[in-house]
Parts: sequence; structure tokens; C-alpha cells
Amino acid sequence: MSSSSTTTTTTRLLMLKASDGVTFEVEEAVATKLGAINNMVEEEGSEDLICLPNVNGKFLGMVLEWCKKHANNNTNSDKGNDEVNKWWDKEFVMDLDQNTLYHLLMAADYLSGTELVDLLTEKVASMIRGKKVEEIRETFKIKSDFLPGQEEEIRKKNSWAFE
Amino acid sequence: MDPSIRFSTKKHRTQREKRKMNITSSITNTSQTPTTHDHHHHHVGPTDHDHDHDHDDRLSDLPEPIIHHVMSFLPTKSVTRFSALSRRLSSAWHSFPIINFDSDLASSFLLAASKQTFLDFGVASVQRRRRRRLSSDCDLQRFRFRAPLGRCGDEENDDVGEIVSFALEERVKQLTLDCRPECKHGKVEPPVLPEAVFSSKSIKTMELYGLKLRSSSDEGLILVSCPLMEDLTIGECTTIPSLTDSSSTTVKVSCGKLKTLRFENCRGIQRIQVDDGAVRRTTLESFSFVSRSHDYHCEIDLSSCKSLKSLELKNVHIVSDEWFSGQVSQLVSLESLKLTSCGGLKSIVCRCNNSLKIMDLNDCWTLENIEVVSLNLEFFRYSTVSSGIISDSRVISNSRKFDIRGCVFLKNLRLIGANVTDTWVRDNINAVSGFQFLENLCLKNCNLLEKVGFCTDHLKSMKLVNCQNLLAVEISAPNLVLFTYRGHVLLSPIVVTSLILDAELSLTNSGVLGSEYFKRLRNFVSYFDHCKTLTLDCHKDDEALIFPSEEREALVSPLHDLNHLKIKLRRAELKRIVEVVDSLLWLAPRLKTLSIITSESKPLVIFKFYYKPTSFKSEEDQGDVHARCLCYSSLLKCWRHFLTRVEMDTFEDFDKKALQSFFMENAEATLSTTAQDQLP
Repeated sequence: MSSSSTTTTTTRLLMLKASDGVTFEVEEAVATKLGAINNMVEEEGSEDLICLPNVNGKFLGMVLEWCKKHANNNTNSDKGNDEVNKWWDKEFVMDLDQNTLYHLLMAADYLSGTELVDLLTEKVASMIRGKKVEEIRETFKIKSDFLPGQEEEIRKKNSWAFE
Repeated sequence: MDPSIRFSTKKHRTQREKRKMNITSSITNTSQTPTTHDHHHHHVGPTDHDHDHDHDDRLSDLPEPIIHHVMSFLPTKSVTRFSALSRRLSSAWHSFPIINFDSDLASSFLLAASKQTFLDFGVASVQRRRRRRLSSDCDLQRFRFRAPLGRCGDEENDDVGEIVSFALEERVKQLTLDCRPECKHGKVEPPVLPEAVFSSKSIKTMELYGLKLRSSSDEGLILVSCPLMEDLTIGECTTIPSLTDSSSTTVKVSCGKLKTLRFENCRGIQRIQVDDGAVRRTTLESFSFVSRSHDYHCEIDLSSCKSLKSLELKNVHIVSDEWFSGQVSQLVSLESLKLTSCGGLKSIVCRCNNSLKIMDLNDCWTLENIEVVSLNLEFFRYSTVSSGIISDSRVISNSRKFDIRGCVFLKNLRLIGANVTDTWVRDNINAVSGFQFLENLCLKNCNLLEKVGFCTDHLKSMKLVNCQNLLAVEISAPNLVLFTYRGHVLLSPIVVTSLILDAELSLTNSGVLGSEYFKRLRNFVSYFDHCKTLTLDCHKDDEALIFPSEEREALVSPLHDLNHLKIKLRRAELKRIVEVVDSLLWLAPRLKTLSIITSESKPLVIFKFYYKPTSFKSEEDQGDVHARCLCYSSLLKCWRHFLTRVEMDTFEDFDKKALQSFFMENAEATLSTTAQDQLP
């Protein structure tokens, strides 16, 4: 994240309004964990109400929960806190269903929450790692839309990967 | 994964811009503006139809850069499986900007088929990317190739050449080529690195291992000029001697943005020059040259590296003192200097490197004179192998001079095998002049030291290790938290004044068991009565802790004030536990805890002792006790008069019954094995 610390004070509160009208009041230091918000604060400065028409309140709430945890722990960062953060992150992604995971990931990407995107994409990767094609398809309910014979051809090309 | 790599194509970025505009414009306009992605219409947040589409393929719904991000966490095998999932995911696989040929992948090929298949795969991947290049405009972010190609080097093949030229055409940003052989024996010719790599216009980070570097000219010059290069590591590479052979191989690095340059265990490089002098000041911040072969002759020219902060040389023969004074002493930004096993250097004089924070000189056996003045120096280490182990080729000079007094803010000082004297220590370590802010001090194998004595306010940790001629120690350091002593049992007092001290005594050469041994040990430990915790390691078995009763009768318990005692035993055996506990409680009669551990710090047994709060047991009790203890005439009463209860945690099998009856007979105290049983 860019160095905005010169303009930000920890006490300033921002209002974030989600697509369904739900609003969140958060400290600027928390909200600026999101690159998009950080840019807006830097560019526009004074505006305290930010509307986010592409994020639903439920997921914005979850994203902000994550930000809060990481903003707090960053202020007095040491190794112990790193561990705590990791543990917390693990819990955070543990039981996410695919729908939530998808929406969170889209929200995090849209808001440029780089670290959160890393966390969530790694979670998706963990659902793929070591699985065979059929298993991946089953996990994500992917429909094969190849033309007849096309898939066999692809598999043949890199047969080593499909054993 | 490397956080510097972000997966946003230009397309994606413009979308982001658009979406951002949506954010800003929506401050007044609250209507929902759905955005469009390449493949699907979607919208962040559940909408009405979401519930109907619970079976949706959420993975394919993700925008391609995010799919790439997911793929970047996966091994190549898993990534390749994307190609057969669906057309959408196959397309994402085709445009994936990272190519990672790792050794795991190579081994799965070697199991299945031949090495050639692996290379075929490489070439196929290359061609696949080439075809896609026509329709996409994203550069290759990262290319990692790890395969022991040197093995099939008997015939001319240019596998590396093909792979590298592909990576360069794709404008790769991070390139790793690792062709180190899998087995070390047998003559393996490493593959030749194509010269074009060294003039790449796209590479930012490069690691090269196990390759042969060819010089581009007859003069044996290898020129590295990559305008965007920031980090370069050249490891275990060799050079091809030039045909004319008269001149040596020079590596000249001339990259305008270079920050880190590392050479590890390379052979054949005789000269390294960073920048050609045309640029006044290079950006290089860190340089290291580490060699495996002893006393490697390489001339290093860093004269234009005025931004250099860290310099590390290992096993490098330093041409002359002039090289040091002309090059290193002139590096005004230098913060860390580390020289290990560098011969040739006799004198180090640093008077103008005021930014220097760390100076670490290890086994530079020709050093005779060290003069350092840096107000910022926080860490200074000088070490040399002790004279006993030195091979005849290394003649240690005895006239070493240490002048580091000018480093008044020094916090850490470690002298190992240094020829410093009592006077040097007294002059340099004191609260008035010298290192007033010293926090950690280690003196090891400093055999000229006889009487170490000083007063200092900030010292937190002090180690005195194997200083063979040491006779006495007198340290006044009110903030000392840890005092570690290793060596023989001193006969004269060892005085460490600090009220918050933990002491660790490791007595390596305490002599044969006998009256003299026990007297000396008793006297030696008695100087640590005021410690919070005393750790004692006699490098012997448990019998070395059993003070004979005649010694106990003749001597006074030395550790009356000690609360916590830790005993280290050479072997994990406690055959005579009752006698050991009896003896240790004589040694330290008011212990709160006693731990017996092995020299690897594995616990064997831990006792917790609980005492009566008030001074004496009742009169009739005392009468009972008198018969058993030695303290009837003494003012200081022993543990038998106060002990009420003992808790024991065992990690080995001991004779618990014998201990129980021991505590009962001696103090009518109960013994419980687990702490949980008897907690109030």
C-alpha cells in the first residue's frame, strides 16, 4: 500500500455505503487497507461518504472485518502478531462456501485489497492442488464445453499431467 | 509467491479504472451500475438470480487475471490440468504469464518417460505461448527453469538457448535458470548461457545457477548491461576461458538500476567491475561474493558504488591493504561489512565510514591491525579459529591491534580468539569512556585475559567462554540479565553485581572428583547466590553433584538465597536421585524450583518446593529434625525446618517411593507427582 500516512489520521471516520444501502462507519486507517479507498482518500480528500455500488453489504462487511484485523495488528507489528494474523486468516477462509468466496474475491479485487486477494486466491488454489481434472470439475461444478474429441486431444498433448 | 507480481492485464486495469469512476461518480448517483467482464456479466454481491444459480461454476466466473493469480500458487502439473477443464479455463491456461519448469516437474517426467519428453514439453509450452502472443499483449512475468541439463552435455545441444530466447522474446521480468547437476560426482559440463540474457531490456530479477558463462570478446570480458535489472544472482557458474587465454575473465556489470548483486561459488571469474566509471554513482546497495574454494583470487572494483550499503566477501583473497583503503574505506554509505576467511588483508582502517553499523570479521587470519571509527557502529565481531586448530599454512600474527574506541555507541561486541588484554577491556568497556552503551558482550578464547573487570550501565548480556588464562572476574553491571560462563573453575572470586541476573555456568574442566573438586565447586557457585536462576552444568554425571557428607559438615551451604536451580547432566541418567536431591538441597537450602535437564535441555525432573511462611517449626519438631541435620548450631536453618510439600514433574522413571520417604523422614513433607493433584 502506498504511503498515505502523512495525510491520514487514525481518528478520522469514513462512511462506506454498499449497493444495498447498508452503510459502514470505519476508521480511515482501516478502510485504506483497500487500495481503491486509499486512492480516493488521497485524491479527493475531504469526502467522507463513499458509495460502493458494486459491493453488497454482506461482503463489504466481511472485507472490512478483515481490514480491521489487519490494520490493528499492523500498528504494533512483531513476529507474534504475524502468527496471530496468519491464524486469524486461516480461520477467516476456513469455512467459506464457494459463493461467498467468489463474491468476497470479486469485492476484494474491486476494492484493490491486495493482501486479501492473495489470501482468497490461495484458498481457491488449495481447493485445486493435487486434484485430478474430474475432481476439479466436481469441486467447482465446471461443465466441459469442449467439442467431441477435443478434450482427449488436449490430454494427449500433455499426458504426463493427467495421470 | 512474489507479491510484486500482480495479475492485471491492461484490459483488466482499464476495467478497474472504469469501475473506479463508477465509485466516484456514484457519490451523487446511487443507482446500481452493473459492470461487464470479458466473459460473463456479473456483479459483486448476491442478486435475485443468485439463489437459482447455486450450481454455478464460480471458478470460471472469475476474471482471467484472478484465475492467473490462483494458478500462480499451483505447481505446473496442476496448472496444466486447467487446459482440459473447459474452454474458458483452457484459454486462461494459454495466457498464463508464468512458466515454471521445476525439478519436481522434471522428475515426474523422468519417472514417466525420458528427459527428452520434458524438453519437448518445454518447447511445446514455448510454442503455445508464441501462438498466443499474437492475440494477447501481456508480457511474461516470471520464467523459472530448473533442470539438470548438464547431464546430456556430451553432444551439442541448445535446449537452454531455445528456452532462453523464448523467455527474452516474451519480455520476461523474472528469470530463473537453474541447471545445477543432480549428482555432484562425474564430470558434468554445464550448459552455456546465451549471451543475449546479459543485454535483456525486460529482466528485473535474474538468478543463474549451474551455467557456463561465455565472454563476448577475446579479452575475456562478460558484460552485463540490462537497463531494468535490479537483482542479479550468479551462482555455481563457470566461465569459458577465452581463446587468446592471456587475459583473465572479467565480469563487468553495468546496469543502471541494479540494487543487489550476488556471486556464489563461481569459478573462473578473476575480475569484477561494477559500472564502467562513466556513471558517477551506481545504484548498487548490496554486493556479495562468496566462494567455496579457499583463498579465491578475484579483483573486485567497487569504486563507483557510492550507494553500497552492504558488502560481504567470503574466502576471497584480498589483494592488498591499499585495496581496502582505496575501495571499502571510500564507501561512504556502507552500513554492513562482513568478511569471512579473507586472506591477504593486514590492516583495516575505517575512519570515514560513519554510516557503518555492522562490522563482522571472521577468520581473516592475516589481519594485524584494526582501526575503526564510526559513530553508528552497533555490532562488531572479530573471530578467529583458536590457535590449536590452525593449520601450518596460516600463521597467526600475535601483534594484533584493536582500536575501535571511536565507536562510542557500540551495542554488541564479540571477540573470539582476539588478543585483547585486561587493560584493553578496562579501557574500552566502562561507564565513563569507551563503549558506554554496550548491551551484549562476548569474550571467547581470549587467552590473554587474566582479570576481567569493568563497570558499565547498559550491559544486558555477558558471555565469558573458554578464556584459558582467566583468573578472576569482577563486573559491576546493574542491568545485566544474563551472565554465561564456560570454562574451568576459577579459584578467585567471580563478582557480578546485578540484582536481576540469571547465570549459566558451564564448567568444562572441573577436575577429578574428590575433596578438592567439591571444595572448589562449592566456592565457585557461592558467588552466584544472589541470582534469580542459576544453571549449572558440570559436564559430568549425577555423582559429580553428590557432595560427600564430610564436605557438607565442613562447609556452609553456599546458595542460601537462591530460588531457582537448574542442573544440566551429561547423560540422561539419574541413578542416585535421592542422594542428588539431598545434596542439591544442601547446596541451595531454600529452593523454590529445582530442574534437572540433559545437556540438550531435555527435562528429566522438575521439583517445586513449598515452605512454611514463618520462621520456625514448633519446638518438638525441631527436636526431631536436629538429629538429622547439620544446622543445629547455625543461624541459617536448612530446608528440613520449613519444607511442607513437594511437587514433582517427571519425564523419566524414577524411584518415587524412595523420594517420598526421603522427604517424609527429613521434613515430614509430602511429595506429589503431578501438579494437578494438589493444587489448592
